[in-house]
Amino acid sequence: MTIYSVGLGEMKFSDDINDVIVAHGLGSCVSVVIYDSMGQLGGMIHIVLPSISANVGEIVLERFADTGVPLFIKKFRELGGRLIYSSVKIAGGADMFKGRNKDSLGIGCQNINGVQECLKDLGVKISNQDLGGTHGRTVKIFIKDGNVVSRIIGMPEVLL
Amino acid sequence: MVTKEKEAFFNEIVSGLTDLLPLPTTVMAIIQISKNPNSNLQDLVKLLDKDQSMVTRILKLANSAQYGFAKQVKTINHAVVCLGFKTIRNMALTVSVSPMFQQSVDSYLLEKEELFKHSNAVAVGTRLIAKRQEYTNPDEAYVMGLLHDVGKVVLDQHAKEQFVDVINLVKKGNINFIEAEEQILGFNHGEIGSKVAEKWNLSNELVETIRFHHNPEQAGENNKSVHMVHIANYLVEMMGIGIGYDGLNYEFHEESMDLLGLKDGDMEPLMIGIMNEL
Repeated sequence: MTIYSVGLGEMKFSDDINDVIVAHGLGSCVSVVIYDSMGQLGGMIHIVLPSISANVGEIVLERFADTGVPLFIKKFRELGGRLIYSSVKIAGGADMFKGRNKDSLGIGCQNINGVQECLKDLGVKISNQDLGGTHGRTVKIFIKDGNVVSRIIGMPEVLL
Repeated sequence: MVTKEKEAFFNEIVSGLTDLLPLPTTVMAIIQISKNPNSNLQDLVKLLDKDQSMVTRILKLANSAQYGFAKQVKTINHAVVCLGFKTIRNMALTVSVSPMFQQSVDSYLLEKEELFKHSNAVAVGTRLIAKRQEYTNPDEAYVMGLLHDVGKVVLDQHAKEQFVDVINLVKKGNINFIEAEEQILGFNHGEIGSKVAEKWNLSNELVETIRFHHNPEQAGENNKSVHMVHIANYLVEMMGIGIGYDGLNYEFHEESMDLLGLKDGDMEPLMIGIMNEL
């Protein structure tokens, strides 16, 4: 079994049934996971911020919900993934116990909204999700069967 | 209220700190001479000449991308002349302290190297904010960020049993991690960490910054570093870099942003800046 780690603002795909793709320690970040059960093709992206409008310096499209999610779906299709046979799951989006701007949304919440809106605009339905709270999560997808598990640090894994 | 039992526990840990996290003799001596106004650069060179292992590590750091010198720094004499007391002291601290953070910290459910990743990212973030603030010595800010969670290492060694109660209390909800530590232990990881910095004879500003990095409003009004570390820590926790069970279970004090003149719109670019440097 080969485990591929998806870091901040990265995406990875695999169609090897021996592979597992994992994002460790998602804080306010959101991981989008997709799996085509016919082609046994899976992928994951690790979104850090809601919008590329915040960018400074080098542009990394995968970091942002508004540019990363469309790129992720495009790449998935280019690799042969078919949306009709695919399920999409999302996890992450935690916020501080008590964060800034009590009257507005935290980055975790903004990331969740950003990812959900982008997927909706692309006509992609979310089949399951594990979101929010104040704890970090690790998310994995097993390419052999498309199972996605989410685990809050210190808690048991949850099958999504 | 802190009971006598908890106070005694705190004092017992503090009395054993020198053995628990010993700083190399050379680094202690560097700190000493960097505080002495009568010392000169040759004193520093003579001291370092006796510790070639430290010289090798400092030169390696001096020639890394982090410092970005145009020409290679080949000798310690050259490094001392180019960089001066404070930077050499910060480099010696960085190379000595980093290995302490690379072990797993089981009490916080941090796997091997996770605390180092977190501390290094906070250090990078603090330095970014410091540069923006035109702080006189951004490398000093880096060290403050690097050391902010040294108390977690101490608690992992001395309070593993009590930490089960800390985690159970947090699991019940509606309490942040600092409050839970204080309720169970009688003190938090910042307070015990500041005692390490005191034992190491580091500056009062650094001691206070470690102590109040989760409660910056309690620090002295001239201490800007504590606000820089507080904000950098918040940004790194949001990014999930090296977070354990405590995760994002802390409070953010917006006053720190006001005190440094930072606006909401500055936060996300700072996160991107940290990612770009890691």
